[in-house]
Amino acid sequence: MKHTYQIGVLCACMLIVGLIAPVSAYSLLYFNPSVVESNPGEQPAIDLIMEGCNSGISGYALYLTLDNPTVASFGEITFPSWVSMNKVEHINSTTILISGADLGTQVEPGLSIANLAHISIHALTAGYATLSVEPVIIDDDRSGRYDPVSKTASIVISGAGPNPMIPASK
Amino acid sequence: MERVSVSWIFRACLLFMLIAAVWEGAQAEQGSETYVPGEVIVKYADIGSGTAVASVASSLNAEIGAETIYTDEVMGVKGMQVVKVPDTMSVPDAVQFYKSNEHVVYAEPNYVTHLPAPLGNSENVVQTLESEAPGMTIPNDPDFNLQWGMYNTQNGSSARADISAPEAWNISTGSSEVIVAVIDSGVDYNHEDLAENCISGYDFVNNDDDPMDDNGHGTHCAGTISAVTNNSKGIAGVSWNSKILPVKVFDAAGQSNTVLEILGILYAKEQGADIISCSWGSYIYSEALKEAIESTPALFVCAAGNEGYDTDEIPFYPADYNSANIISVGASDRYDMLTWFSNYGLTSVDLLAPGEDIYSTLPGTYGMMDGTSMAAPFVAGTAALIKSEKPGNDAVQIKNLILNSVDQKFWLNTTCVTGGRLNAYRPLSQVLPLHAEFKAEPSSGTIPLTVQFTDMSSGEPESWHWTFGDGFESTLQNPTHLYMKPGKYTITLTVYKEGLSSIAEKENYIHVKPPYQPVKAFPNGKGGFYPVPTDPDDDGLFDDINGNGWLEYEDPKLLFDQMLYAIKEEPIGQFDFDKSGFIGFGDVVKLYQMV
Repeated sequence: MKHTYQIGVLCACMLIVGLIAPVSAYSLLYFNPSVVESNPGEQPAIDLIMEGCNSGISGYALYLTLDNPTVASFGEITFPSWVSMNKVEHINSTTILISGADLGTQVEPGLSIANLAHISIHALTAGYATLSVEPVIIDDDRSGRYDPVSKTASIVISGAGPNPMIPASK
Repeated sequence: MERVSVSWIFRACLLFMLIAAVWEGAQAEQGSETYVPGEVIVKYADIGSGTAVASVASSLNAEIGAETIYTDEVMGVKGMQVVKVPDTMSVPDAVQFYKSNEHVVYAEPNYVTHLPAPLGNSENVVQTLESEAPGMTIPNDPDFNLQWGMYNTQNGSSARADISAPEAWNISTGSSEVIVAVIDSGVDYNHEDLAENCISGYDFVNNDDDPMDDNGHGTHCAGTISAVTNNSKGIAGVSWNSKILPVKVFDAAGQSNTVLEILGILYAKEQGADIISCSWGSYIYSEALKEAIESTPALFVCAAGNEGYDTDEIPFYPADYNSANIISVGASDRYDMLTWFSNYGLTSVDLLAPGEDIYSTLPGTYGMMDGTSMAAPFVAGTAALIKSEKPGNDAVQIKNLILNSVDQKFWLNTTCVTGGRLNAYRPLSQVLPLHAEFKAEPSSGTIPLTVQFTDMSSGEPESWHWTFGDGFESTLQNPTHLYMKPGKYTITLTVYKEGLSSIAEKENYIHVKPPYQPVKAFPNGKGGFYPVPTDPDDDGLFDDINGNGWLEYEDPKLLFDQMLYAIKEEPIGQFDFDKSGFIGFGDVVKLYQMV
């Protein structure tokens, strides 16, 4: 009897979570693909995506960091067509600031996912680097501002020897 | 090098377009030089008596073997005759012959006129009508939601780009005592939405009393002027109850001539038409047509023409005769812009009225048409409403009421005399016993701004309804309102008394500025700074980011480039263009849109 009661409570909790989750305001910055494997001399590319931009995007400013400059560095940064005004600023050897604005109001409310930038990476030497994004400001089209969660990407450059291990904590 | 080439190609294109425009203009000035073979209009001077004129005329006619086909009695203008010259003499030679006589004031060919060709294929755009607001009368005609010219709910701006017909109908829906002559291709007088308002007319093309429309143009114009309204059928007319006098002078192919037009005008005059709608014209000046118009007490509402010309340079007639009883009407679109096809003229076009995607009656059906031909009927209908309320007003008084109460738009300043689009409500409100008016003090200042509104209406209203432009309303007679956000606010006051209402609206009347805080110069990216940002239009927002004195593309670009600096260093109020309460990319987008 007690077992049945516990199952009932569990089901109710799952139902509540299921009902609440779809309407929660949640936005996320991530890279696609999240793991890039390459060889020295190559230039793999990776997209920066924002999910949950349901109120549209008027513009953004973000720091991008590649934490191991001996392994990988930033190549060309290109922007999708909706980012009609954009800028890339090199802050230091590992970090750049990218900004973009949607002057043509193309990423309007109702669009839940948007590509923010296309990032080209210079694969330098064998090793491991982490690509991270830190939002400075991301403004919506409804006089509001997003506070997204960020995910990193792992850049793995293979050498002649064994492949480097990806730290489990990442 | 490539840039130079592109530049030269661009210049060559411009030159070509210029030459084409001049050539087209010259063609238009010359007209198509088509006239009715063998026919000449001759106007004799007043030489004492009709017998004397007849004597001179018969003597001149006999000299070249011509014969009078319409006497001045038929033409309705003293001394004006139409003669048929023999085939052996060309019309230009005959014109010259008559002109050379000292008793002839003028002689001219009987010019051929064409109705404007249909412009494009308009699409039906169905609007969602708001529920009836205070001070509005919304008719139950099912296709009223296609008539944006009457009530436009599609443009989101605070000022509607329409003629305020629902507000006008709250004052008047027209009188059956007022007659509007539609001199055109006839009217489908059996149409379900016109029959009740049509009176017997005449067909001068076939010379009979059946002015049935075999073209469609006249029926479309008639529907806008005075379709039977609030009958749960089709469309609404501007003047619901006015009578339409169908006068057919254009044939099925849309062709007419000066003589038919003059005969149509005389007929309309004899039938007591108060307003005459003329949605046609040509680039040929006819002294005879002008004289016929000026001999008629009715108000002539004339289309300005559809060639996109500046009619100050290339006049279009009859719209551009300097007769006191003519209103020349250009066409505006649903965004209150001059349409691409409409003629314009700072001194030659009086006002604009809706003329694109106009839904109205067609023979046996309904449909959309574009053109200044469609714009003129809105003005004719409005004139009929005014005449209904003020039967004693003459053509010039009605014209002045209409021209003095347009909705002015600064971007239309160079398109017409009034710089505005027809408003049907305002001229009517001026002839009402109830007239809304108000003032506010102060009308500008920094937030928080407390404004005292004072009712100054005449006619002793019984109730009041204020809107303050920021979403708040009041029903007090003299309310006080506190503004908490910077901006320019449009105020309306509607007053009511015994079923009557009157609205006063003052656009961007209250100007609330952010509290002043010093702004800083923006970095130029080279270690220096631009000049300090300025506020060129004194609205409290410093939109000239680079401080060069005017708003341009570089301003949103600089704000974008220096966004992090602006967030950190600049006062919010002066740079919060999108009213979000903070400086961000929304302000860049808004500033870009302002540019």
